[in-house]
Amino acid sequence: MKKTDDLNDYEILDVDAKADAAEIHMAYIRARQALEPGSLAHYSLVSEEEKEKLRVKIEMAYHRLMDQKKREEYSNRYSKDWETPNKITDVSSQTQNLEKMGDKSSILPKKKHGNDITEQPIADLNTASELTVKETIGRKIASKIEKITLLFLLVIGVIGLLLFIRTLFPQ
Amino acid sequence: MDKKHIWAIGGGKGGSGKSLVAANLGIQLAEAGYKVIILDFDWGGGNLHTYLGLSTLRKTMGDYVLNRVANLSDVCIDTAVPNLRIICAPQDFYPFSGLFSQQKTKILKHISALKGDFIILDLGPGSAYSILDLSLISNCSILVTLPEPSAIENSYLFMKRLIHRRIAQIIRPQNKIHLLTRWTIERNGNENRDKHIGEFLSYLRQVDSSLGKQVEAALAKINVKVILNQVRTQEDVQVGNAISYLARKFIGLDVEYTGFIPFDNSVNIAARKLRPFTIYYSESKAAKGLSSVARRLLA
Repeated sequence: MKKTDDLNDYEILDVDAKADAAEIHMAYIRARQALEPGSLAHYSLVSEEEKEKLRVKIEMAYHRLMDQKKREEYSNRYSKDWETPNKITDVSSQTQNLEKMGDKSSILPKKKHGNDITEQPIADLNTASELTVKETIGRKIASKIEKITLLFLLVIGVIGLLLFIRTLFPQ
Repeated sequence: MDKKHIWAIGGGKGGSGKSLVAANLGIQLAEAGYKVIILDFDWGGGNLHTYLGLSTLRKTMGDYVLNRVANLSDVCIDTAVPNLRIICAPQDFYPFSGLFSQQKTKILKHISALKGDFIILDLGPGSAYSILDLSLISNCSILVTLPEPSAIENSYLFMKRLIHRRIAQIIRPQNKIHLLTRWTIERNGNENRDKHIGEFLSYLRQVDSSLGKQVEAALAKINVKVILNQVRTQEDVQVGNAISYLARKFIGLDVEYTGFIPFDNSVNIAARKLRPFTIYYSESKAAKGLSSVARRLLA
């Protein structure tokens, strides 16, 4: 869990150290989109100054990693200190299908069951509300009894303590 | 899958679709053959049962808290979907976060004793400590959010609070909570902004190297996934990628964007009929979207 300042170029773009140019380019687009002015995603998260700082780092990382010579120099110099970047989930298959979400292939394999929920009778709402009222009253009474019992025990405890003190100091 | 999975569905913002996702995800997993139990932790405002077509609550988690039943499993209610059972939130009770800590601890312990392949915790809104604790006992914290500034803001807040809570869980028993307090005061003394948690870890490593490593290892295990609900445009779809990217960079949390559920009127129509949309409108965009998300969660 590194500070943003400590992230290397690969971590800034969320790509693997072996990523090819196409992957780096896609990651760059994704990172830029995240910080686009007006994007909902960075609303109130950090200051404008911090966002701008990250934008600069993204640009630097992208241009360095897209230049083969600079990338090799950079990697040779710093790679020993790097950790494996986080894995990025690809939701592009779902993204492409936003307008065609009727595709049956997206359904989890289903098991047939006889008792179809669409045929389930809906319980009487009046009965439900009556039950709730009765339960509420019952719980309120139970709560009051609990409080009275606690108070009674407290009074008994105090009297017992006083009697004990009196026994210790009879005068 | 031979291991029980606990998934916590939260996200901070009320009305983002947490219960709807919990109910319909549970249905899809149950229909795929997994034994599923969903627990509603939105005490005093829970709607989970409604999304599953149940309107009368004969037993709730409140009965377990009040010792009317011996085990948490005794308040499980069967649904019309085979393999799917639910534990409802009490409707006329104080919030879950308002319980005594012993009561909350008792519930937290008993969740893992429930028998099922998947235990889904419907966390309800907010990011109170008890909600965060539920999230932290899960294998996977799923944040359901909307492509709207307020919902996204609450999701980030949830992530930040989740990290802080996890740190506190580790350092408090070692009587080191003052380190977090001191760091918080010091950082606020200089500038009024929320610094990256990586800065706290650097500070912690300096003052107590072993504790720093312990905290870092614990934070690395936090598994957060984001689902975007009510997606209308391709721009909305990209918001999920952006949340994931920005959370990594500015919060220091490895957040995975698991996919989105398109905005779909059939969800509202099904809800009005007290029917789950994944069954009543199984061919709808929303049902297909949720299936994609479920498959990614199972991967």
